[in-house]
Amino acid sequence: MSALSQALTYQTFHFDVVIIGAGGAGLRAALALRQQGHKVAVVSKVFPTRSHTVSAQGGINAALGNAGDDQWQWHLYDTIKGSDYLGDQDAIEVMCQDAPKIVRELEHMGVPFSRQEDGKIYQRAFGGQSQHYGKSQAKRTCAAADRTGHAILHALYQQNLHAGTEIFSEYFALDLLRQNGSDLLICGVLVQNLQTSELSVLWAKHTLLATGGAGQIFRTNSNASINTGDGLGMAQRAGIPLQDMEFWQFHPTGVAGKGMLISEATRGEGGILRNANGEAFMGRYAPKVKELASRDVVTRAIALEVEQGRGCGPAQDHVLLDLTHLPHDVIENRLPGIREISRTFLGIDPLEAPIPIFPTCHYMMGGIPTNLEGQVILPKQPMGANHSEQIAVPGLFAIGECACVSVHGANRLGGNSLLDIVVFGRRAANAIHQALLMAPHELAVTEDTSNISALLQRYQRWLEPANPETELTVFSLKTELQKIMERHCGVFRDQAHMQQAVNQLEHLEHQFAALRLHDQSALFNFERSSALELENLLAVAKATAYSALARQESRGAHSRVDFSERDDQNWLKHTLFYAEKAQLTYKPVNLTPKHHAPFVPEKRVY
Amino acid sequence: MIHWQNLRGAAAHRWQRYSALYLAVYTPLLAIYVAQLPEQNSLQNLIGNLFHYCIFGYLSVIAYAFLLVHLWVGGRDILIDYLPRPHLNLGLNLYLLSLFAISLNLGWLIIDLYPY
Amino acid sequence: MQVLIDRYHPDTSPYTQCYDVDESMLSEGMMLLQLLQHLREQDPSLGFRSSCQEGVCGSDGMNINGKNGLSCITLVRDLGQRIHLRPLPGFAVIKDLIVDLGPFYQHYQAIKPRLAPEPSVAADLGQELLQTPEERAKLDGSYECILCGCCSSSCPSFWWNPDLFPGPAALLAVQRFVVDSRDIQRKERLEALNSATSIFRCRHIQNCTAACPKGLNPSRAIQALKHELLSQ
Repeated sequence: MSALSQALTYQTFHFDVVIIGAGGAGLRAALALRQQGHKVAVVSKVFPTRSHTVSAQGGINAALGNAGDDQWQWHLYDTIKGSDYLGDQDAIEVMCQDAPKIVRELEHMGVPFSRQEDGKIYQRAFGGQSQHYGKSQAKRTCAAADRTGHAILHALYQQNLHAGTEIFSEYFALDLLRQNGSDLLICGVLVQNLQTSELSVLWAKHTLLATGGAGQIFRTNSNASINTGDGLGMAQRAGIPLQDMEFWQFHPTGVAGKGMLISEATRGEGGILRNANGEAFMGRYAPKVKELASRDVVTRAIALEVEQGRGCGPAQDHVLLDLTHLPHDVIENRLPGIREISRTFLGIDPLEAPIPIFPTCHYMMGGIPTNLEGQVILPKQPMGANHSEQIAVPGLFAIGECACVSVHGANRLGGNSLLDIVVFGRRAANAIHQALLMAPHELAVTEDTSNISALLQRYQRWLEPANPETELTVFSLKTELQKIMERHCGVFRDQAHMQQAVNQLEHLEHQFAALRLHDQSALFNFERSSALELENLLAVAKATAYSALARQESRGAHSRVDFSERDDQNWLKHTLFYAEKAQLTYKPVNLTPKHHAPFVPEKRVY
Repeated sequence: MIHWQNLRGAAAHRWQRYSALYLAVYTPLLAIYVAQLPEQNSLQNLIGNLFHYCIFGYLSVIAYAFLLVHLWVGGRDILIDYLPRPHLNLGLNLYLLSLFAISLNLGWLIIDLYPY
Repeated sequence: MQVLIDRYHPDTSPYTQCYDVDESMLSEGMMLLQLLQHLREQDPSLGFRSSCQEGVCGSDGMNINGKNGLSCITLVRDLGQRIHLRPLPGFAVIKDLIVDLGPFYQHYQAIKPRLAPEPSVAADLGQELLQTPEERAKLDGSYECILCGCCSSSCPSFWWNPDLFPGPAALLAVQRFVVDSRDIQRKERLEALNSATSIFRCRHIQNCTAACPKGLNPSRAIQALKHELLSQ
């Protein structure tokens, strides 16, 4: 069969819920829905345990109070402060309140958390955590050594195996299915089997995006190669705006020059950052908590040290993370994975020598706008006066890194991402369960009343062979994209650079439009899947550059040289970027938690 | 009839160990014993002498039983590894049959030699 | 420098392709995966899996100069002037270095890899299932498995009976639950291994331990399981 005729035929399946992404968020939601007896499919472009949740190291935050006093209210305060007051306080409240139960539930599912002497879950200190609203350092991060993500993802996969969740492993989600005529009703997803290139239409009453991050838009990143923002690209193409895309977390401690993550747990266990003079410089930037300041603060400190000529190494391009003073058993028992990474990628044993580190792109605070139940929402009148009125997109949910609830605001606290995925994975599943109980009827949409033919038409392009002469390849374009973003939208930003990013991305988009494939094989065609991923990366990068250029202030991870202060008067609001006309609009931040007095924005000092 | 799906693991492993242990002790004793015997070579004499002292005769019968066990467990494991699955049951049953046949033959030989 | 890769596509007969690599493009500390990605930029048809690129997701198991390992944590400079890459042995090849791990995953699923705690205690989300640090320490060395398949793919017992013998990875997973103080199905888990075609097919040649890119010791875990099973 030729590639062409394969593309035009497709199989059809019907589900109650289709979940795209088999990381922690997707699997948590799938488990809850499956246990309620719904017909669930999980689509993943890699085998579930290869999802990027597996790389999470340090832990998951919950005010269990196992290692000293703790309350969810303090967790709430820390997270809001960490978010530089851009996080929605009602959402953060829900997350912090749910956290202890969620972590115990994970523990009951078999996650092998490290333990304290009294048999309870071990909790370590992480950046930005405090007791009594900023008074003293808290220990809130529940850890399974430094492999917490691995432990959680495997446990969730095991539970899903037991529950009998149907998993479409190594299937790539191409686009969301929409009902014609309606404003926006999502009714499933068009997927492609990566092994055979066969297309399938998965009709679903509810579609849940859990596709994770898109750190691959930056050259130096801690993300897996699969983190290409596929859910964000699909959402954008379906006409949904992206929220707060200017906020990208650069993790302070990436392996210098390579980008692999060295967990914040290293600093939580007592690691110290030193510059070329051997000075523990964090005291100058965060006098009180030093290394355990929020990630954006530490990252800027490191970048400044290097910029001001106090970097280490022959090129003076990194600083050192010193663990040599820690007791050996702390490194061996609490940080074995870090030791392994350091030895493998740097040939350095942290027991004996400090680790060269430099900030690396780590996490996307922005994403697909959702409400507290994970339902995708958008302004009723995008460009109207009343921005606060939001409507839900029927049939579409989003959770985890690809979503923006927003619990992380302008800067995420370490240990809150694993919490985010599990809390909102569960909440979205509950909401979908309720929706299915209320409206159990089958979907009314058919092939003729959906956008399938338009999607297939779009796909046709990948069946046209490339001109063998062309220099243009998917790989060269991706490299170019990563360079543009790193150069112009990195840790420190300014008007001129970001404008260049916008211009260059426009150019890149034109080049991408001309891109065709050299490899026409139907069997594991990586050139094609890379091109599909690049399309999504481009969408994410563009949203980032436009949103960042417009925000004329410094807040959290968005740090501008030309607007160095936070401006609550004008910018205490969420960005929404509409791709179609590259338009921006804004919506207010929620400042009213339900069970606590509001937290009024204050100057952020650590 | 033997069916590979019904074959157990732990019990067989245990018997394999017991029999190996027994044979490891018995074989040197047998060697010493045979070496002490007056010069003679015929199988008839050999077997007759084994039973000369009752106790060693019984030990030898047990040794033979253990040898069979050991042969069975070891042989069946090798067959499981190497025989194509469709022929496995046939192979196992033939092997077991041949062990029986050898035992019968040996028994018949002894009775033939000592027809009392 | 030469990189030889065993190529396979069902439409043609298998062959070994030789790529000449200019050593000037090799950077200090370069991993094999980066080299493969570089080769794929020139030859997009080259098939191999990858994801996390730091040795925790287990996507890129392959046979590297005769030894199974993960390409993302294997240094190019340690591999000499001639690198020969083959797909993981013992599995059906789908394309180039991509194998069908289906049988491997099925064995994992078959051992019921899921914590089975006391139901009454598990239902109570108000408290944790307590576990002392000593009890927790017993899980070290088994829960870290990343399911890359390097061990099972190097195991002759698995080659002989890929449909019956669970293989080192699945048995290591059994051990992970058998030693977990929170689990109440210890007996059932052990009994499930008590057939002639299961755990006793392991002859402890320790290929699995030698192959494990995470430094785990499946052979020792299997030994411990056998011991438990025999002392039941």
